[in-house]
Amino acid sequence: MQICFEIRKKLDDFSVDINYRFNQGTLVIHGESGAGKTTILNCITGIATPDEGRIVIGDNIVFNNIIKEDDNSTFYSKVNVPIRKRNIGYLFQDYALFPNLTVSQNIMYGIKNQSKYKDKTHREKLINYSEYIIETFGIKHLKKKYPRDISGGEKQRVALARAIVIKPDLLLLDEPFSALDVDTKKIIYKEFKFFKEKFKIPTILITHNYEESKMFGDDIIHLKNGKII
Amino acid sequence: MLSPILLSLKIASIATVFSFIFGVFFAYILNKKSIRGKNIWESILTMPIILPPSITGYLLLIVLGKRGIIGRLLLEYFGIQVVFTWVGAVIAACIVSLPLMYQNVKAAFAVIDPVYENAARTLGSSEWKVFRTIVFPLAWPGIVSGIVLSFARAIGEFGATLMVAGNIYGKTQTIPTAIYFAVESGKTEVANTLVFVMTIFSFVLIFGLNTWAKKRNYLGNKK
Repeated sequence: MQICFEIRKKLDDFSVDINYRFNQGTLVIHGESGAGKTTILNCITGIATPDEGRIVIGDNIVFNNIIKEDDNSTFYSKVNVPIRKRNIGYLFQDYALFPNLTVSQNIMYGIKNQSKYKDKTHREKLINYSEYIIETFGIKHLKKKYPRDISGGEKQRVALARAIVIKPDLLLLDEPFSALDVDTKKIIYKEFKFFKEKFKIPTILITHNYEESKMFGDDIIHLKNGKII
Repeated sequence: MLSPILLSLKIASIATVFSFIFGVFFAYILNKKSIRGKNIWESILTMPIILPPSITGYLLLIVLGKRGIIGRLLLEYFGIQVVFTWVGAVIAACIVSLPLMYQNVKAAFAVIDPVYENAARTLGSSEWKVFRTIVFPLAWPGIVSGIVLSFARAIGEFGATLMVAGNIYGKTQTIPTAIYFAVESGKTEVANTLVFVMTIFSFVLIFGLNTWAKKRNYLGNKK
């Protein structure tokens, strides 16, 4: 599956201007804080809107407002698929686990939104799959706990499980390791490599840590003031 | 003596239900969505806090009276008279309690990090579901605080109620108006009893709210 994103967006101090495409694997966007990394993820997921751009995930154009010209005619095809219909798993920097829901409810949240969940036969399959994900991520013992009662590493695992359980076409990871202490990071790095191999979901990971870029990136781009350097 | 107590409870309860509906609606629309003229709407909603209740009552009398814009229509087309009925008292109580509800709900919405709403959207939630499953439950302690304070304001309402609904025993006489007229006519025992009931009731309400709020708070301190 190919992921293409062409994004131009004016920010307060500079403009993000990026045009990139990658195939299966993990693309790491490396750059200092404030380089425009999160803006790119927000545009891809639909939280922010590019001033100009085109975002394509596989065969699906999820955003386009570029005037396209061909030999015969000029046409303007505007597309802006709502966030909820983009099928993108997003691991937020602070995980964004819903504080009012238990770990189990957090993981089931996305599954219950799927239209298939209303169908009884599909529902069973979806529940079984969520159980499989919970087992795989080793968070079965946390199911009834609330996010405030679990550690940083556990939160990370739950948030990743929540993003993966919806079987996304693309996974976005915003500084997934930055909130973890050194010892937890070592464990999570290993786990993350395992999940990466196991689920094989096209992933964009952003980080300001160069070691992490080398560790996880099949493809690495360096970003400064919104542009690839 | 029981009549003003029961009537006060009935009027305050119904007024609080409407305050809740309008308060939550306006707090969400004005603070979570981009709406034109937001400051004007907010000023109108908050004005009853600043205006003396007698002015609010007078304005309501102009609007809801037999010759008022709304009052005339209600009387002509539906045969409903608002002024000097318990319905008038409900409207007066709702108007004066709405700012408290609005301010509390607005504050409760403001502390919710938008990242939760975005996370819910990426997981396939519609806007209504984001509100129902994330925003509303997270704001619930603030909303309850708004409900309690609005109810307390509604049950204690005097000026606007007196102007719009008057003081008809069994029909529109509430605890505050009953106390006022009991004192004026020298019925100290009646006034004392009603004051005692109101004081105890208010204390229990506020104490209960504070105790509950400390126990349930997802976003702030732990239990």
